Amino acid sequence: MAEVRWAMVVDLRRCIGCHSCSIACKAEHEVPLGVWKTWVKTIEKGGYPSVTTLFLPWMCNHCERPICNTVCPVYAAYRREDGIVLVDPHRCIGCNYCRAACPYDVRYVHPETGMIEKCDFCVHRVDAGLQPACVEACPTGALIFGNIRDPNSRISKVLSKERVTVLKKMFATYPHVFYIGLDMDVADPLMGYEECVSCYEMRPGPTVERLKRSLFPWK
Amino acid sequence: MLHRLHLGPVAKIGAILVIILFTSSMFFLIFDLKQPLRFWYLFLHFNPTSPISWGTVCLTAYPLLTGLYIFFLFQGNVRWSKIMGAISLPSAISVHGYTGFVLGFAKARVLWNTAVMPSYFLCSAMISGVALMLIVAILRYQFTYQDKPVEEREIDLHIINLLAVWMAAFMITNVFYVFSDITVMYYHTEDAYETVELVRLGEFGFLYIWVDNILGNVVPTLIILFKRTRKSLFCLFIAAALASIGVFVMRYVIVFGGQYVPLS
Repeated sequence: MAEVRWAMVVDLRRCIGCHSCSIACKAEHEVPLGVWKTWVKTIEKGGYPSVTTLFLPWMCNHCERPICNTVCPVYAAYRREDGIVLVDPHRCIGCNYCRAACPYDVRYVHPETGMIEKCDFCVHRVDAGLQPACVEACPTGALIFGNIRDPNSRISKVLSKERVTVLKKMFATYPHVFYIGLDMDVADPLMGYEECVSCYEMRPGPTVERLKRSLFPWK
Repeated sequence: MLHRLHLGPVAKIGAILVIILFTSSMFFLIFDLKQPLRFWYLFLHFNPTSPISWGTVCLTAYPLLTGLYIFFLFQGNVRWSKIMGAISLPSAISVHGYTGFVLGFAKARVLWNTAVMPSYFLCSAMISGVALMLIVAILRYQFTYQDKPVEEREIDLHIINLLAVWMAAFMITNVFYVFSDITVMYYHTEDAYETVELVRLGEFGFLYIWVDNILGNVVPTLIILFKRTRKSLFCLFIAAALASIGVFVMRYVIVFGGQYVPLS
């Protein structure tokens, strides 16, 4: 077992939704317009006077068992010994399969080169002994990056003390971006796309109605 | 097998169609890459866990093997054409089945990630393949039957009838796959339930239920099952055309509908 396993903890109790992480990432990686390596999903829930805004910084989860690596036909997607999942730009053929297969929707096609890009935990900074750009930019210290195999690192202490969870656990990818205080509504993909109070308020209607509507759309 | 069923003439047409269509399909796939000039990396770096890697091998082998098969068939070398036919049969199945695995292994998309997807794709590929063969066989009969003796006309009509019955059998299987896929997804997890509600019966409901399954599967099956319409070559032609359109729409709904529900 490798001695280093990089991971990230996102303390959502501290996140203020300032989008500094997204902007720092854009600047660090020169991400083109229209695509993001990391972004902050924002939803509002409830109605006046009891209303909350929820934030969810979203990035590559650097899975232990990444589906993108499994399905890449040319081994362009690979995982380093220290757990960072990367894309080899000299090998990617741009087939888009990893983008379609990733449950976290973190991969995008670079508009100019046509190759797949995604968050790489700022591997060039990490290898130089620095923290990723988003972590350095976070004004409230909501992002904690470190080696989870080192019991004395800050992230290990946080992980052993706090109640953490991961996104989309059911896909068996064993993601390594942990969230503290994750709300089920902000984690729900359909929230934010439709006006709704809670994810239980906007579930699709009864099947018989849907079936009637799709079978007899002219009625 | 094909020779025993008097399908010799159709086998030749089918093999020529395979070479034309699969050679051109490779170019479609290559131009769909965002880095098309790197397509040869697929042969260089074979990843056994990726169905696209399997597909690369199958898709290359299939037209080549069929080329050898048709070469021996036209030479009259029955023994070797049978051997090549037997070798190319698994590649023919895998070339249609691998697309189902490509979709099935994309675990993020619940609409694709089902165990029925490879069989469903294989079945719909059989429908579109037999439909194309049926169209060609009907056109061939229409344009050549005046010059033929009665026995050869009988054989041609027998072939058309056989292809139609096969197509009906595959379409019934296809409807069964659709039914089992939708119902099992409906009883499955939150994501699967939402996909059924929002995609299969929602946004793409009209295309999927009406164009694909009613017009593309049920109507052609009924045309073939009723004796009066089966005897009419025009009706069979319409059935084959509807089935081809239905399969195309099914591919459209599966590929675009699978990515319709957002993930983040």
